[in-house]
Amino acid sequence: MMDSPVMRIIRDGKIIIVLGPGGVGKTTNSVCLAMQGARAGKRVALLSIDPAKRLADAMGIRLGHELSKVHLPDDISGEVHACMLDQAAVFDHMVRKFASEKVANKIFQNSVYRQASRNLGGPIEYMALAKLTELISAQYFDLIVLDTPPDTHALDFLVRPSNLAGFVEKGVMKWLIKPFHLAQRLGFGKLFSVGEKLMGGVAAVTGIKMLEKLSEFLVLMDDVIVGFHQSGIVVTAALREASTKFVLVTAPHSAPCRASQKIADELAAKGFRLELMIINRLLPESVRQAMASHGANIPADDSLAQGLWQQFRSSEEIMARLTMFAQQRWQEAVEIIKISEQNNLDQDVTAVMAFSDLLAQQAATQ
Amino acid sequence: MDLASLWDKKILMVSGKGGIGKTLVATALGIAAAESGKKVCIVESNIEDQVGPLLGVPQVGHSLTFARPNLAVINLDANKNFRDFVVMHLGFAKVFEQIFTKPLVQSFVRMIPGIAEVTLLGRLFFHAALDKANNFDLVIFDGFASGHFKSLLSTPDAILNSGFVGPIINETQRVRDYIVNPQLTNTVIVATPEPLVLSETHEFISHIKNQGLSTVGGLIINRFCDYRPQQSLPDSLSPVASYLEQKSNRSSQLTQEFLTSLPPELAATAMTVPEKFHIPEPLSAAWVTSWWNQASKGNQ
Repeated sequence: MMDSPVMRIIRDGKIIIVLGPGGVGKTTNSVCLAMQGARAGKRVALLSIDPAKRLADAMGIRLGHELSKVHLPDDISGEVHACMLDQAAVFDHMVRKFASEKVANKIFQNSVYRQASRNLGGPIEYMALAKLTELISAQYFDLIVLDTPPDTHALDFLVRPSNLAGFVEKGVMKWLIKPFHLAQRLGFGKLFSVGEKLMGGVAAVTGIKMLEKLSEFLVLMDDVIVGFHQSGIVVTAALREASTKFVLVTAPHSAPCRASQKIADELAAKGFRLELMIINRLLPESVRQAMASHGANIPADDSLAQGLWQQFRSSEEIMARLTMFAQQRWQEAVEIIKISEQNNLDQDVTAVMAFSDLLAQQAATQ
Repeated sequence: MDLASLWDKKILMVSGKGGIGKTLVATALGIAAAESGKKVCIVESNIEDQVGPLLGVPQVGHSLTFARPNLAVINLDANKNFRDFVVMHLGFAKVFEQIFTKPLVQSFVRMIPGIAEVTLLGRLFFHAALDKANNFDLVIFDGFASGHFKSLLSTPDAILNSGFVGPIINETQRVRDYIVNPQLTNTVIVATPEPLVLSETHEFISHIKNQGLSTVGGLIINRFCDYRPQQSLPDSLSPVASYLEQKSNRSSQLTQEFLTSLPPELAATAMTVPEKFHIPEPLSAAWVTSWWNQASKGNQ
């Protein structure tokens, strides 16, 4: 028997990046891919960089920022180690890794760092990169599955390394830090009177104190940023390997379909190839068959069944459109599998395992 | 909950787990408020317009666009919004043109943590309180999904606790005071009767409440299925009938369990709105009115 698309990805992949808009079952599918990896005897790491606690929910266990081994059924020969990345912990870890102990302690006391690493949105992609680097270099795992945050931010982490690279290489950091090194000798009042008009302007809006703290932060973070930049290069290279597989999870409805096309467009623009599209949350097979043959017989006054009939027709149309789109976007056809919605995945690992097996059995649609 | 109880607020922020219909609810709230005579502005911040298409305006982007005489929409771009914040809101037009347009300064500003979040909240405050040209009665924010929304709401405190001073800090204080004032700003949380969604919503509500980040003024259970046909479907469609019946049973059972698990004062703000399976785009006022009319109080 030929391998199914999921089995092929599990067999050939070392890193699987799962993309998709919110609410289509992206986390559940990531979990399922990881479980199939374990079924194939692999040691799998499963990372979620979604700040919500979905992954923990889907697995039926609590997860921390450290990888913890998931309890799987006895017949599974491999392992799944999962974690939901915790912003502060990963940041602190990075600082300890790249800065000297003395500098690290200063960084931990800097208020910009404390607030940024603990409370602010945004840097979550950095965390994924840091953790990915750590896992790649540890070489313990055969397969890493990365569940990304929903839609708008999904692809940020793919370009962050090169953004950061530009920031470091163009000397922007040096240019920024130079006046601050000077300022720490001369005092900040002097800094803005010696012709640093630009930074004076920034200070007028953001406040001198903010600049001061920020500059201290940047000066201290210099080593960390350079170290981080180097690890970014490792990840960027790893993402370009043929063994990194991109999977897009979507649902056959108009909003997720629009968002998925946007994600696929961006992925293509960045020069990555989509390997597999999982269209999740189809109506159950029996409902689809009944609709396909007899949907027209639904009484006009049964508005709910009529609505479902309309949804069925528009879903079929959307799936045809997605298939066309994927084939036009990449010359080699992207494999597409379809799977029906599930309602029992909150129950336990066994239910998730059953869904995972179902996913692995799906043949590609034409 | 009664929708009209929300109309006397100045800002409504709509949030919830991804993919549960936040944009639909935010847009429908906007249409309903506009129908009741309010002048409304719907703010979103997405890679591509989502509210605009629902209102029949295909291209919106970062410019205030009126879909109807008293209903405007804007899709914020973080960089342009920072410019607007400095120029329109703080009144530093000259500084901005001379300084902030420089690429080096722009890279620097992007490193200031939380700047996008604070200027976004600042924008809601601007249209609710400072925008004399438009004089909106109500600003509706088609908010981020729960995880990102939590960090959005905690950003002002993070910045205020940094011990900084300066114009942005002073303004952040003003914006924060407006956002946490229950008379002025409420959060409307959307969920659907699905186990994973409800468990996450429960955690989300507790977090917002315990951290004192915002007042939850409404809880909307979307896609509530209540199948009571006049006549049963023909046998050939029995899988469809049993699908709808099962969905109905799950809807009422899960919603019931969920509401019982909430503090009574929160459960009292809940309402269910019906599953439609198919949403006609653009939304008409008639569709929205009939949809809200089919809503029922969650605790009944």
